[in-house]
Amino acid sequence: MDESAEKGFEEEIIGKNELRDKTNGIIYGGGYLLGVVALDNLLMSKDRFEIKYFFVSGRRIKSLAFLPGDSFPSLSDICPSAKLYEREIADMFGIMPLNHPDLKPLMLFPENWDAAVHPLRKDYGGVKCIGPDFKRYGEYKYKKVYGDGIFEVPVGPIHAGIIESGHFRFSLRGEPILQLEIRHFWKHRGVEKLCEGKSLSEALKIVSRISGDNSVNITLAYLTAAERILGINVPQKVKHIRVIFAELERLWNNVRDIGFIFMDIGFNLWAQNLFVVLEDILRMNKSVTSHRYMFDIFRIGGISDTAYIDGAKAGDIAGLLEKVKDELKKAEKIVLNSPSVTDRIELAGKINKKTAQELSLCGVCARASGLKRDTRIEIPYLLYGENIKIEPAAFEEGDVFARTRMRIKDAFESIKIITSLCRSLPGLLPEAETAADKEAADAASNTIAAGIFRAGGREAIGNAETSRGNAFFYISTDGEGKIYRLKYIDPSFRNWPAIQYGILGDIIADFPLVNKSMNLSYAGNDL
Amino acid sequence: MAEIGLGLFQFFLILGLAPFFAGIIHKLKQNFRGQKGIKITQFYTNFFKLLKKEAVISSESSYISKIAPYIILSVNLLVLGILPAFYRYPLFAPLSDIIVIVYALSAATFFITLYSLDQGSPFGGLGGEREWFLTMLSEPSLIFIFVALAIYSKKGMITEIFYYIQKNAAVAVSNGFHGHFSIAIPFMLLISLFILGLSENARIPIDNPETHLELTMIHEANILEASGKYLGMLEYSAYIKLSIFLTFMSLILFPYMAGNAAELPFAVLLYLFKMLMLCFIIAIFEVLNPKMRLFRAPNMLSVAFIISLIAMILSVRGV
Repeated sequence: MDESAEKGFEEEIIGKNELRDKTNGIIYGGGYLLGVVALDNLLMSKDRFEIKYFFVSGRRIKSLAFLPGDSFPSLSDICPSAKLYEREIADMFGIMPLNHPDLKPLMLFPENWDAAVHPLRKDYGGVKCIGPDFKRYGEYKYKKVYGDGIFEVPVGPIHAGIIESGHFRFSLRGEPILQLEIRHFWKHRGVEKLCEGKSLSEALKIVSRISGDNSVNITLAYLTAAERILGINVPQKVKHIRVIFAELERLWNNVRDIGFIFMDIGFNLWAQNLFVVLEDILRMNKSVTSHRYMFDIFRIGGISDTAYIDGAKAGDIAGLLEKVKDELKKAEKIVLNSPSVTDRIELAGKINKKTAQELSLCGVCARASGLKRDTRIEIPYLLYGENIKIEPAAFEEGDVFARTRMRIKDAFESIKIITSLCRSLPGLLPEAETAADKEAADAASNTIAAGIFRAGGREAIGNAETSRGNAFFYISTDGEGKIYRLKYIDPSFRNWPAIQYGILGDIIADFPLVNKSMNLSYAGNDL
Repeated sequence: MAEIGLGLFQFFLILGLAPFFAGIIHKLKQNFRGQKGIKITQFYTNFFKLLKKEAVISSESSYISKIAPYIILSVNLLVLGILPAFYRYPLFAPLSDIIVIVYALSAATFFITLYSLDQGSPFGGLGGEREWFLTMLSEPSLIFIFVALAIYSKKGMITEIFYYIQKNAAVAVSNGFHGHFSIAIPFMLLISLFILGLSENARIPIDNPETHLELTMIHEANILEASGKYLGMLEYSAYIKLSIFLTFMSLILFPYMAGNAAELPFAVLLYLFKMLMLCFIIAIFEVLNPKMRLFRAPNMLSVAFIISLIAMILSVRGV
């Protein structure tokens, strides 16, 4: 096995000054930024900091790694999606991006935290936030629009209804939105720091709770990385079952999100129809995996006992999906054929293809804006690219209508995949082989216990396509197999800034609809 | 004396039933969607609970916040007292001029938007702006509806107008449809009034009364900061306003007003039947339609305007 297959990416060590040229080369070659990971090598006796840029380029993941010292050149002009990552690194490591256009703190709010606090450094001892003490260390400056008759509407971070915390600041002239500034990261949990020093199986429980509704797929991305580090090849049947659960989660997410669109245009009749279907799926999740949101159904190298699917359970799943399919077909008919609905969602929240490219969007938002980005096709994992062939699909319009249709398409595709896998599952491996499977899995976990780590540790990445887009994990371990650095990048982290552009030209009354059509996660965004 | 007694009965019956009508629409909508739904008496419970709660008033607000709920409630009560819902001599019969009704309703709108601006919350400003945007478009139609009725019946008082229609309808039914009675004019006015009723009472497709999203609210945004008894009063005013519009529709649909105590039981039953039917129609209409874009609302309201304009022209011709 060569190095890149083992880690999941090809690394190129470059000098700090080459970064901009190399990035330009990759972007002009059709690549896009997947994520930026910074490391503090204080305990590894190298140069202190290291930054890795991960790009998707021609169905491979390419990484540019360099040693920044205490500053590095900002890429925000040639690759605008790097902006948030650079701000994050400035906050968490204190490495400064030079020539960054908007370098205010991202996660450590100036009202609460001293500018010298950098929690992801290895020598960070832990400082208790004294706040809320406003303007203790400074003030967060919002972008202002000046002019006659222009006013600001601050929304959140406390919302009506059951919505997570996020602050949206609109500058309006009457109803039309002139500018929207999003300020998130109100409930930072420190997941990355928390995982450091834990073993890979201990961290599994933490990462599966990063964002509840994408638990399965985020866990899969983690497991891909963890199993690469441990050198485990999972058996075919485990892959089968994992894909079934991954697609099941994508399906219920999409059904809920289509329902949300109906709810937000005040068409509760159809929203309720879909929520009934959603409840059926969740109840089936419970009966199959003993958890409605399918938490903790995987372990490293296998499937946990409670979530094991046999032929009868596979039949149940396939049976329910027939009903789901019928309901979705009805909903699709309403979306496409009723003028009152199309009038409401067409042209609302339009994200141009160029914007989507520059912001390196992923998932439904990218596919609705004409970019055929799907992790399952670009960076295949599990059975994708082997047994399951997915046609790359995209809509060009980039509006709420396109995103809704994209979700319906995704949902149908998930149903197709699950149904075919459920059908082939009993034939693939008879029940009698279950014991042998377990033995293989046990052997795999024994190798974990035996310790297969080289001195200096290992690193690997893992990807999975959630219903919102690509979930990305970078894990590096120390010599004892404990996690040295864990970085998770949620699709929501990449896609949140897009709303700021999609909403321009719309009126403020349409914002909730546009927001709901993307349905991004606050929890995944803010680790 | 008997007149005042029956007038009081009429006034308090509608006043008492106002949350019931709002509740039954809500309940029907939920049942149509397959939800279990609220209790029909839920809005009474809400109201009495709000009366007991503490009212929190923003320190940025002025005395307007304290008096506006009282003014809005009393204006709505005034219009309620003018309505000859099922008895010919309402409580404030001498006030029942068509102009009084239209502008009393406008005064309530004025104070509710003033109240929203007084809160110092950005949503209040948005709500007030949207409320006026809709009222500006619906008020001319509302005036035209009443002027058309006045020209048509050659009477200026609302009680006399509906009595005239009732009398002539009865004559027309018994003698055949010739002479000066037209079915078309009340029918057109009913359609127009139905659209205005949806718009003025924050119903789908103009506004979504069930939403929790502040940014899309119209009526709710105005009273977002209200609490305690003030919220209770404002909500009750909204129930009364809904009942006023439903009652007007029921009167145009089929006017039957009792002239004395003997006719009253039948008139009350007929009134309730008409109201429940209208609630049913509104619930169906709301369930089957999504909310439209805010700036599509003028299209719908201009339909109401054109219809009431045509009705007025027809009534001038005296068809």
